[in-house]
Amino acid sequence: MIELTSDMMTHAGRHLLSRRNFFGQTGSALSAVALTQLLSQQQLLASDPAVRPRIDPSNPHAPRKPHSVPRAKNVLVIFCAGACSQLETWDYKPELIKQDGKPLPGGPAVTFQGPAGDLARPQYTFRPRGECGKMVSEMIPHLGALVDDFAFVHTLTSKSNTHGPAENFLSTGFVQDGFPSIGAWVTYALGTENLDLPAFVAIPDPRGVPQASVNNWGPGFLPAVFQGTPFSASQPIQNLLRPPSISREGDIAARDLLRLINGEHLKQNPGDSDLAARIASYELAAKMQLSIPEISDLSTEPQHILKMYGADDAEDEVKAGYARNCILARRLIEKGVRFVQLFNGAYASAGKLNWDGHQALREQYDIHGRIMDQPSAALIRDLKQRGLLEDTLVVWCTEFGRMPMFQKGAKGRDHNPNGFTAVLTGAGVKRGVSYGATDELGFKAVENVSSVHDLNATILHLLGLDHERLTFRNNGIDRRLTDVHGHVIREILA
Amino acid sequence: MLDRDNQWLWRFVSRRLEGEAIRDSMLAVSGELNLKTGGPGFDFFKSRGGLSGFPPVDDFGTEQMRRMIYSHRIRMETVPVFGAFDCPDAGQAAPSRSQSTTAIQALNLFNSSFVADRAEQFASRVKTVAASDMDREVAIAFELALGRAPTEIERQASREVVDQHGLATLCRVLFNSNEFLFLP
Repeated sequence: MIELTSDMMTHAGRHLLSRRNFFGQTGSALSAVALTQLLSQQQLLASDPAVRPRIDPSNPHAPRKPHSVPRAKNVLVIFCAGACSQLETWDYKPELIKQDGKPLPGGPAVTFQGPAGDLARPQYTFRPRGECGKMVSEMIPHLGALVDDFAFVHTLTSKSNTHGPAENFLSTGFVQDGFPSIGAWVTYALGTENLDLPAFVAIPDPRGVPQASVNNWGPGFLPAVFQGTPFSASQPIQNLLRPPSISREGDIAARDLLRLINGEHLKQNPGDSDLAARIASYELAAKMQLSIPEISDLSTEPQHILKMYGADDAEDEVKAGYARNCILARRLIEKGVRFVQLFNGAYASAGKLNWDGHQALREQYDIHGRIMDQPSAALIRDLKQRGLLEDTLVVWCTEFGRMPMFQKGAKGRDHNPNGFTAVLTGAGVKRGVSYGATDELGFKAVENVSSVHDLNATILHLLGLDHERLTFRNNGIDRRLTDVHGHVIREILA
Repeated sequence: MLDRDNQWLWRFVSRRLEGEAIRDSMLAVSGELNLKTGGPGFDFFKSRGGLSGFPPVDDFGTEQMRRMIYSHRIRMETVPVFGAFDCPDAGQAAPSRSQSTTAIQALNLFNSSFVADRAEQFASRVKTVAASDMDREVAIAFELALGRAPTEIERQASREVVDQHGLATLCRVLFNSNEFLFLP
């Protein structure tokens, strides 16, 4: 006979198996069986039941098996905060050049920020790049050189045209605050291969945090252990090192005494895994005090690597800072960190600190493009030359796109959530392909329209996770990253 | 063991204090807790809105020594040090709190200057009553933080630490101990 222990059952399972509840609920359960039968005849049931990862409280980040054979082990997201224009980067619209200065027929009179002006040609010249001949803007020449490795999704749509909620939507699948970020979902599902480093690292831009800030790497209602740890090449983890008022010897003595007192306490409470887990967390913290300064110390990087990323750029401090973050991202992936979220661009600042080009798009994008292009391209090339793209999925994305018109009286574009581009490369991704299309002016996705949910479903799929089966019960609902939506974009899978 | 995972409740299910209760307890033990009720909340951040982020307050006055339930909540911003102890995001209803254990919690409690300052205050509170009798200092510190006298092993080890590194070091340890954070 199999002995049931409570950790083999969910809380709900234990509750169901009590005698009183069994009889109390059998009546309604029988009608549920009938309903299930009906639904299954009409093929309305999800194919497989939800699978909840079993988390060992003393080692919550222990590696766990995905649902199916994964193509990717790690994910690197390059998140361009502020809504980087599809029309100045990857979505070539020759018709928009012809229609420059004319009104958009049937277009909206007012967009997010105010009255709409006339159509405005792409602000950069496009030319064919790579063997696939993909047309790419000259704003991003280094990234353009890599198009033969890229898969483009040109038809993303978002539920929100406002930065904060749209960043929430991209990172958590919901526009409201309080839902788990994709990195939290992934580490909840899979744990990590390297227990000496955080499983999920968010690297904020040198200019500041993105508009939705910690929501992008928050745990929502998942256990807090799965939240992203924010740090960058210039900003270390808070409270990583002992406070200056405490000496090294005093610190070691405190650590030893704490171990003794906790050990005595554990003897009084044998087998209590929560207490054991907390003792273990101090051991892990001590390991991080060594591993994080080590991984953030870029002085061991050779000169040619610093040069390749642009980390030695003496003229542009922000670019050098972002380049250093790119090198940090590579080092984290190299060490097996499961999920790295690298931000390019900060909070809403009239386009000064991020991609929010409302008023003077060309002028601001000249600055932002220079910061983003060379370091990001070097990061992807470096991952490739080290063989890391075999196991790592790289996603370049932004919260929404921009309008083909300029704003009235301005030289910039307003928010447009109706058709924008994401780029994927690396593990499991087809090379040199484009999926879907916006209309001839780049106003709206029209062919193979997809959504942010589809992008997230695809990322999970490449990690061997079924976005419909990865759930967490909160407030009476089995929640998913993709809510009740999402289709894997199979056309871009290798 | 017959009921290893405590399914049949042979012992009390150990429960970690919530982030708020940990902070309140530290202030109560250090003698700094401000029990003022009602009125506008106190701030953990230098701004309550705007677009340039929420830099944490690093200089704490008596207003910030109130119980944490009186803190002004910024949706989505995690409170420094104690927010990592599963304080829910204020953006969504949270019918129950998760109880997770993380290395970040350990770093926050062990290394933050807030906790180091509370340990200093705790130590000076103990010193005013113990009148530089080291055994009494150790006993009173245990009594205030854990509600019991130290065992012989604890007393000896603590004495040695106090002797070499000062009473605040012991106070820092007690604030980090499982017994301080957990019920029972």
